[in-house]
Amino acid sequence: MLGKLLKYEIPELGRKLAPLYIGWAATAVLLGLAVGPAASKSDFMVVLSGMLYSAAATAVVVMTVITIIQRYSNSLLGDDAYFNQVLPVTASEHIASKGLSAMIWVIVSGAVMCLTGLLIAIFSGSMAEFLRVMPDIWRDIIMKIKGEEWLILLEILIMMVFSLTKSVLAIYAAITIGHQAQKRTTLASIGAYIGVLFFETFVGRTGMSIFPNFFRNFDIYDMHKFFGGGMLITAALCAIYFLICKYLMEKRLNLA
Amino acid sequence: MEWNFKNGIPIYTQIIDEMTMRIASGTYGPGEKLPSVRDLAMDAGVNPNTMQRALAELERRELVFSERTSGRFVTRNEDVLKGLHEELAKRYFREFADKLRKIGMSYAEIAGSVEKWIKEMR
Amino acid sequence: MARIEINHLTKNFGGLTALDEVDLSLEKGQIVGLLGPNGSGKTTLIKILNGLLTPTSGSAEINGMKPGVGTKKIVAYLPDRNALPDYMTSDQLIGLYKDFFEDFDSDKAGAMIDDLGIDRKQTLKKMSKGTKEKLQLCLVMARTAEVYLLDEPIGGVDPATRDYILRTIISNYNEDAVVVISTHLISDIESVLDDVVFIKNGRVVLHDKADHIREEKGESVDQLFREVFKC
Repeated sequence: MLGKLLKYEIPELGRKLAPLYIGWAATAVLLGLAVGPAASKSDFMVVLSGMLYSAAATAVVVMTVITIIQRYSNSLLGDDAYFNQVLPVTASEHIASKGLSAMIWVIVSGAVMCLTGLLIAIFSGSMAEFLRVMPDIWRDIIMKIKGEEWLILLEILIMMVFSLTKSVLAIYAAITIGHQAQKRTTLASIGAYIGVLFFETFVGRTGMSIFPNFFRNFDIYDMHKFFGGGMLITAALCAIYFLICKYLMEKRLNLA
Repeated sequence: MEWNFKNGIPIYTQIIDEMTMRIASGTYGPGEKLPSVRDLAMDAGVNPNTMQRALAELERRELVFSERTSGRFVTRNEDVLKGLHEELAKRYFREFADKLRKIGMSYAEIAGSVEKWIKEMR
Repeated sequence: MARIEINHLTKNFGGLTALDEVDLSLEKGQIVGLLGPNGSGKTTLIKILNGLLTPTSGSAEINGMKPGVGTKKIVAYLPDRNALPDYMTSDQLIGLYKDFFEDFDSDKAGAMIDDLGIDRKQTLKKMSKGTKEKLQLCLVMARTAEVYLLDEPIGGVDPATRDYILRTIISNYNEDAVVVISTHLISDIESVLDDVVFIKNGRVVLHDKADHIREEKGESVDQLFREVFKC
């Protein structure tokens, strides 16, 4: 059933975000043209298109977060829940489908950001330069990183995915907790999210106080310890948030 | 044909009356196949269970009979149909006579007036 | 075993009691009217049976199961509001139902929608309120469910639509199912009911056969309702 949920959930988020991506790409093209050699080098145009580009970037980031929040709260706890929550699907599958599609679209938003950079390069006419320099930079990076550092890079990547999962689930948990208030659920959710942030700070502090000498040397070994410990704690947080959502949805659901 | 249900009388009784009337008047002729319970229920806007119960009662009165696979049919039995006619005629007459007695006519007066009224109606 | 078995069911919202020690047992093969004025607890009861609300105390079971994935497979629910994604067309909604409900009959739903003259490529957003309600009902009734929970299916629709809805319910339910219709418009649905349940201030005050009421009291269910719920 998770697959079927995703079949509807992933396009649904895309439907909401796609227009923003297109707008963002358009501002990137504009910026590229403004700074390119073909342009009249009007400072005004450069500043204007630069502002447009950053505004679009901000809009995409903000809207991605808002859409993710809305998709969860509307379809599982709001009016649309009158359809979704009577589907023969477990709470876990519902939460997982929302979480997975949210993560996919956060990653897509990131990819679109890279794409806008590429668009700027193309339309400013610096693509050739870019293509000439890139292999060198790439080679430099590859040459400088050696042996175990690759492992650290992998750990960083995994850590990023874990953190992303945790952030999404933390938001979901806050929304689900806030929904228990029946009235003023938005306010309660924000309150719950502040609580979640406090909780995470507390967990981090406690972790640090248990291992006070974590970063003694900043050597490879310490890095492994740092990322390893971080992954463990993040995974634990993910599990906690997921279980909070699941418990409240299964045992304490009260749709208004 | 329209179905009209009155308040305060069990719907199943009213269905029986309506179906009896339809059989007596030949809407459903002798030996004719009746629509299915569901279609009749849909047409009347009543619960299929109620329609089923009413048809079972008509079966008990031998006005209709069912064949296991092909459905329900109006009886071909002339005696039953004749009996039905007589029963209905009597019932209508009783209603009519009761009303006239209420406005103070005796049976003799009713009997004497009936022929005159019929002539007038023509 | 009864299809729906409710025991000592109580639901509080803060200080407000929406359902108060409700006991109710409904067998299969009948259409049941859950009748009461607005705010009497009808919707609360239906939402609990769908697992959309959690009981404060007591229990509500369908085929011996508490509301959950098991019951959701066999319960067809028509909510008192539109909860379908409004950017979808009838065809897409048929696909959606087909994906999630094993007992859904796409051909039947399609035929019903065509009968209504709804353009299958039109999105829900562009339909009138009445059309949306009819479409929703078609989707719900195209399931071969064991329990149908219809919350105010005839509220706020014109008489022709109401007749269509009642006919759709009659023609699609099967002897193995129980259909629960909640409404306060009793005279409109009286003739299709087997059982009637009166619910008043969160309590079941009467549960009887509709024909039995008419026979015994010599009045319609609607008339009795007006007496019981006189202000």
